[in-house]
Amino acid sequence: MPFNSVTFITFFILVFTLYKQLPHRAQNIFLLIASYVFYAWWSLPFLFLIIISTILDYVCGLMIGEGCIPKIKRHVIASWLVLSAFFLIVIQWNNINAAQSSQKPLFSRLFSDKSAWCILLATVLIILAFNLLYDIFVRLTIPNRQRLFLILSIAGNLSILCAFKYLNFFIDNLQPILHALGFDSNRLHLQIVLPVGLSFYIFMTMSYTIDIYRRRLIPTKHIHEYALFVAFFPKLLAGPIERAVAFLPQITKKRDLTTDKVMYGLQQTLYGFFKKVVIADGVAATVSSVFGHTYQLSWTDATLGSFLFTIQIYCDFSGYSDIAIGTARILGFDLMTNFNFPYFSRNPSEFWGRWHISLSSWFRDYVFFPLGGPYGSPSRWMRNVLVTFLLVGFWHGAAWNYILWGLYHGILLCLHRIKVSLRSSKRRPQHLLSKSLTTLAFFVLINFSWILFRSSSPSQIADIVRPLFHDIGNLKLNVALPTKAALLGFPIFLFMEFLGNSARGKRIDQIIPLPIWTALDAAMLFIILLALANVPSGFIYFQF
Amino acid sequence: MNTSNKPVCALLWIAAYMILIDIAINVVFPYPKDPHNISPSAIAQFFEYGRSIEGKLTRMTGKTDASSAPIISAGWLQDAQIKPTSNLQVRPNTTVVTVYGMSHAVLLAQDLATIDKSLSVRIFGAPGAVPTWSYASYLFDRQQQHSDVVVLGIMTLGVPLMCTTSGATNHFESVEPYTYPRFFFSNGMLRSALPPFISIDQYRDTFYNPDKWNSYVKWLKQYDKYYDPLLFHKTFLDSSSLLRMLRRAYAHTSQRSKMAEVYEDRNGFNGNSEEVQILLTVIRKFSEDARQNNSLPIIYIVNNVFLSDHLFTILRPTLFADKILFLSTHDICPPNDPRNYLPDSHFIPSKNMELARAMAKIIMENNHNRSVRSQLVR
Repeated sequence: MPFNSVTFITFFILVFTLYKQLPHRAQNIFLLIASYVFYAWWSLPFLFLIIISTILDYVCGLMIGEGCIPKIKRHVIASWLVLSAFFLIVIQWNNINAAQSSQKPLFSRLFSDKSAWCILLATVLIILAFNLLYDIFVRLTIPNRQRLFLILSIAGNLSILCAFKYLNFFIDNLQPILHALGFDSNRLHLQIVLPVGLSFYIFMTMSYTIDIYRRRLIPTKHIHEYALFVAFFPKLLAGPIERAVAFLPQITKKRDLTTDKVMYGLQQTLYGFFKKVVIADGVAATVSSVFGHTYQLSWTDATLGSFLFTIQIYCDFSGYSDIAIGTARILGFDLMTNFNFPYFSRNPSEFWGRWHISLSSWFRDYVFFPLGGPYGSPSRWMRNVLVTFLLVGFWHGAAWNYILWGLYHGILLCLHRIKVSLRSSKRRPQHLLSKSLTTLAFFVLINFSWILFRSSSPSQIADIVRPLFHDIGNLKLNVALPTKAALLGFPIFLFMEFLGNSARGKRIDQIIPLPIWTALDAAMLFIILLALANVPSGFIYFQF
Repeated sequence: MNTSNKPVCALLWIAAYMILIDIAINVVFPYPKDPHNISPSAIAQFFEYGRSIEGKLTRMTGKTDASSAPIISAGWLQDAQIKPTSNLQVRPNTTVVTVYGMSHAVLLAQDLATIDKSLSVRIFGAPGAVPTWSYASYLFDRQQQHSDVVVLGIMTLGVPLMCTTSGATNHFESVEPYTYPRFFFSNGMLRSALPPFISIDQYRDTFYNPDKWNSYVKWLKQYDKYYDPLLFHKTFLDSSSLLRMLRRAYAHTSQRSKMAEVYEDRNGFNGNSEEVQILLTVIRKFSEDARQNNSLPIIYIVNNVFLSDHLFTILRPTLFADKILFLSTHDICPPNDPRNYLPDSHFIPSKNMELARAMAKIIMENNHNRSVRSQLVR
């Protein structure tokens, strides 16, 4: 159920209408059910994966923080896990319709998948093993138990991530070694799709146990509250990657649903839709024709294609984040800011403080600082930066272009650090023109990085980059221009970005008069209506 | 301002602006009332796209040809031949080639006539003609005149529209009222249902007679897969430019989902769909019938821009199995190279000429041994 669909808008209106009528505790349970329905709309079996990750970290969190889990709670968790495995994995709901036309009885069609029974059996065995070993776990010394369950949590989550996202990549790249060892790499390949939102919720659940281990968080006692933290539908598919420290208190405390909050949420949602439906989708066809070309690109094609992808990926992802934050706000939740007008940055350090903030801060807190952070010798600091950004690139996908993209950003950060350290301590303030030129120059560097990100092979990178340097001045345009709605919406987008950047965190309705911002909203609404006829495309970050 | 009133005020402001925009569009960019004005401004045209099919037909259809838009005369099966110009006359001692199809086929035929003087080219075309129109046009024409070579034009984007019956329902944004039969399978046999009118005079008579029009709408409901009451009927939504845009968005979404049942950009055609099955049968029947009629059948396969060679791929087994001659554009104009195409999706002139030469070569190489060559009207 993508945000840019009538189905989601209908779903959200229904959820909000019912949600408002309920008392606080029931609201949380209702939101959890709604979030599971939201995810199951895409895939029912993969909902089981979310439940596994939820239970794994809930149990690990309790064992790290409390040292024990009451028997009744263990039974509840076990029952939930087994029932989920049965209803989401064992029963083949897709076969209900097929069963009508099949000669096999409905019963045997519904329970025909043997591998699903194996998953149920494995689930039962893991539960039994945990309960058998439970007394041993409890008797361990506190540091040992905490370390054990932290390792279990991290290993469990990374195993899920590796199995679904990286296994095929490793098999492909280790093919010669596997072949030498007598393995057939083709047979080892998993024929599975990447579950939507996997990287996002796995990172959220991991941060929960790490924070408990670091004593920054007390584990929550109510499993439905923790499950809601993991599955809360506005942020489930592509973030922001929330931290339990900030989000769990919002679940436990009663939320205020004020008209002002609803209006603010609606405004942010509207701008999110505008960026996604009008700008990102409006330039998508041009970008695809440049990056999917089968002919020699001109300088104009390559320049326009890379520039438009820079705009597309920002509008696509920040548009998604705005819709997520806006809809969450309507429901009374405050999600963290994920984008802070990143293309106004003047250096890589500033850029990563403004772009995909929830991910960059996650890597800063859980990878960069544990590696040693910005301390120590320059070589050590650079190693930490490069390793962190290599992992940032790898997080985006199991492909070399993402690793290259991550390294490119790591190198930019190192160069920036060297430049800062060489600069004299007394700095004169920059003039507006100088600031603008620095922003523009850095934008070009960022623009280049998106070529690495979007290309699917080194030869494609070369195909796009070559005309940028060898065909300068060739103004021949072979690709179609963006849609009329995108061209019409672009000045409004630019105005909103400049306004937002200069507002420094203030709300737009607080810095400009009501008749003007409502006119902007009306203009955006009008252009969204214009753009609705365009072919909608999926959110780019769903594939990560 | 009292903060509790702020949301209400904001909503009222937004509503007022939207109404203002709506009125302003209707006032500043009105669609020309003169039906002969065939080139209104791009913006006026843009805001007109969402008008209902009946609304558009009302604007276009006058009681006489003089008071109607020229486009409503196009594509009628009873009068589909493109008026012969000096190039398109049937001349003695030439090979008579008749081309049936959409604008791509018409353009090919025009170039064919200029490059080979031994060919007399006749053209039957309709804007955006779907393969069933081309086949029906052939069936109508072969009773009137014999051709040495018959060429059936088919394009990728036409195939998903095989189960429509009119230029009014198959292209919501630019409606043309011409009609064509609906082909369907009944007990494994290909059958057809003829629309209530197939000429412009019959259409005008039906359009201005509410009873006949209602019965036509009932026929559409029964036979046309793209008939949708929300898009077809003239309602109050036509008066508002914003609501027209919403209807346009709905039209695109619903037609995209219908199209996806037959064709997807990535995977190509769904071979099990009714449309593809009808297309394969139509091609077989066309070639059998043409051969029985001593004509050389050729299929002109137009692979639309960015849609790969999917059309050729789905037709290939049938073409080879039945030894049907064809010219597929994908070799000469790779569909993934937009430089081969004009912005309006037709081939650039040089490529069109190249395609015409390839067609002329196929005709020359395969028409030698035929007993009937370069025949005139008999």
